[in-house]
Amino acid sequence: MFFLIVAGSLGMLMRTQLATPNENFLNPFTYDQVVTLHGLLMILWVLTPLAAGLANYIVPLQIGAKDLTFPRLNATSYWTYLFSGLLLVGTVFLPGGSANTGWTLYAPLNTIQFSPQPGATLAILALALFAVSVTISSINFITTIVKKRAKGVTWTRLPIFTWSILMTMALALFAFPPLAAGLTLLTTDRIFGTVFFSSTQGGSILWDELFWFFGHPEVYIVVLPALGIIAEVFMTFSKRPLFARKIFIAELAAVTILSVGVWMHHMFTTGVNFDVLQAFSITTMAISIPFEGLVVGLVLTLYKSRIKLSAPMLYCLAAMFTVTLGGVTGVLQAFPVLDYAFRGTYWIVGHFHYVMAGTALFALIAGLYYWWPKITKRKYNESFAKITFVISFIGFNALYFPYFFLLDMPRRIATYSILSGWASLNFDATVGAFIFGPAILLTLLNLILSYRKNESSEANPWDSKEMEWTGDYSGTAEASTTKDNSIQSKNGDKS
Amino acid sequence: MPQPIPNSTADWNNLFNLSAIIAVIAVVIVIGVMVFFAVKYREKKGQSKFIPQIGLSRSRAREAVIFASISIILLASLTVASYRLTPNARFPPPVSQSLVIDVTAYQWNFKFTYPNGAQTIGECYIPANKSIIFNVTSSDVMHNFGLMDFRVKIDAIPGRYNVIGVTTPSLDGNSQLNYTIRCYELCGSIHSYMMAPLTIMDPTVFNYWLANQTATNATLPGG
Repeated sequence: MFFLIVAGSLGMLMRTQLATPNENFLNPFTYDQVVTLHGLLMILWVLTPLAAGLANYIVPLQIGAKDLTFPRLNATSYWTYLFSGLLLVGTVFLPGGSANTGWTLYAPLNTIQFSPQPGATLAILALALFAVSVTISSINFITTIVKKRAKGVTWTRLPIFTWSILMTMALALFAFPPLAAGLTLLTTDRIFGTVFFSSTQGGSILWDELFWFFGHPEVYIVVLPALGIIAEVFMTFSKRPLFARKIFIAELAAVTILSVGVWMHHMFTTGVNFDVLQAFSITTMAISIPFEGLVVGLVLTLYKSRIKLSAPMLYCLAAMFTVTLGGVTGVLQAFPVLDYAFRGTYWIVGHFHYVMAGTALFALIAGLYYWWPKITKRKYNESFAKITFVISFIGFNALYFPYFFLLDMPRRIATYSILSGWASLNFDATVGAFIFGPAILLTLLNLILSYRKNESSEANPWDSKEMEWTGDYSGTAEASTTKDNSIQSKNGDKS
Repeated sequence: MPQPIPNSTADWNNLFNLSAIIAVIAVVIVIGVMVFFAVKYREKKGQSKFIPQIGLSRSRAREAVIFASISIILLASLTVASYRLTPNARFPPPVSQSLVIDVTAYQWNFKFTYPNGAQTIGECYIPANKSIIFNVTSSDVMHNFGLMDFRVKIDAIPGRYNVIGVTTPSLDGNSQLNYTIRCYELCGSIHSYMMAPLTIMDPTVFNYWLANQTATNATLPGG
């Protein structure tokens, strides 16, 4: 939460700087640091752990375990995470500032020759610590889900959110080691003067490969829990079983596996052999197919249902909109030829903010609201939540939709000329930011106030059939209530 | 006179428009259906207790395969369409028929070296109606040589030469055409200002200009 506010404020700083051409609110070097920290904090220290934090509460409840298998590892992971985040934020105050390379930390700008400040070295160490924290956590979650399920929680009955966390953690276990390796090499480059990435013999491309081998799965590490949350919320608020549940799980698995084979679509302009690019273009399109299946499955879940449009449901509907828009723009980027134009522009920024800030953040807020009564036993203010939802959805689109029209504006520029013709769209985006940012703050305020007010909630306020609410893991109670339900639950398991 | 649109840009725009239309249709269908369901099946006051119908819980393998096939066909046809465009940028006509310009990006400018050894800094001149090959490298950090008016970009990577080709349009009655080359990869503090005007001239004027450039700019910065 703290990191969300810090990183969000950094985003606001950037938008303020870009509101008008030739603005001097931040100097270029400061702007570069702000860009870097905003990216790193939002992706790694906000979105990834928010999902892990929710999972920490919900996964044991969903599988009927008391806690994660290794409570101490869990604590280690949490404190490592917190320390690494504070370390990263702290680097700003060092003389010379923090890393100024963007969150992608491209070589050789990340080497000591081009960013000599000690803050950059510390930022890299903070990242490495974060990788350690994630690795610990992922082992803990995988072990828990595999080994600690209550009797009756079979693989077919395992809730979708737990499935998505299982896949996320497996992916994290696979994706973070290359990053950790890259960071270690980079640290020795910076401290001991080795020449892994400062070498002109491929050092730059080597970093690209290592980074994106981590970087693309990371997107799915952020998005998979979001899909899990959407599925849970859709089922509860539409009172229907998930459409084609087994296929849904298979599609989640397909996305997880394919996501480690698409990293080179971030490198279409690095001069890599064109046949290789075509191959990665095809894998990228291949991943869109199970992904599309997931979205369609979620939409069809609502068919002939009874929908209660509470705040979590509204957030999930919004997340579905952003994931669809972010998804199709991603498919366009999968064509190397089209990507020649998209590369490094605000189109890309728009695309991944729809996926990250839209889908992941909206779904995580939905998850927070949805499980809030379970976690805190408190009721949040429903109409306040709906109002902040409307404000944040409008602000979000005003902020990020113009980016799709800024097709020739380079990313990460600190300022632009009035002649570029980018001014009005940028101003629009800044207005959106000043709507979206406060709306997120109000959302947090709502949750904090509800905790303070101490208005207790009933045990199952949504009338959900899911195991973490009913507390029934055996699967017998739901089958015996009515005949219709028994048929439904049987079929639900089979489908 | 309006500036003519380069062929590569026209092709790009066509492919983009086609895929964007398909994308917009897909979004409208998915979101439209979702919103329709959300409105149609929303809970109303005074409804009897809801018992979900079981019709949808059976296996959905057939539907999944149909959905997947539709998208595979769409994506495959777009891929084939995109193949037609690739030769322009990555496989330009042979060097013998092209003007080859070496581009060295450095913090924070571009240096252009012409076949006769002449060099310009921060500005580039090329003839109209000609295949141009940019041979792009960097002398310090990673940059990007981006010519958005032609819809092409290539990374400028230290120790590596990347080739990108464009075919310049004819002048169409203009005395010259003006475009901008920009850096599209964060390369340090002055990244925002790293750009170079690209001027397309009449071939005769260009040859005259080139012949009058001296090749003795050895003291130029950047390598």
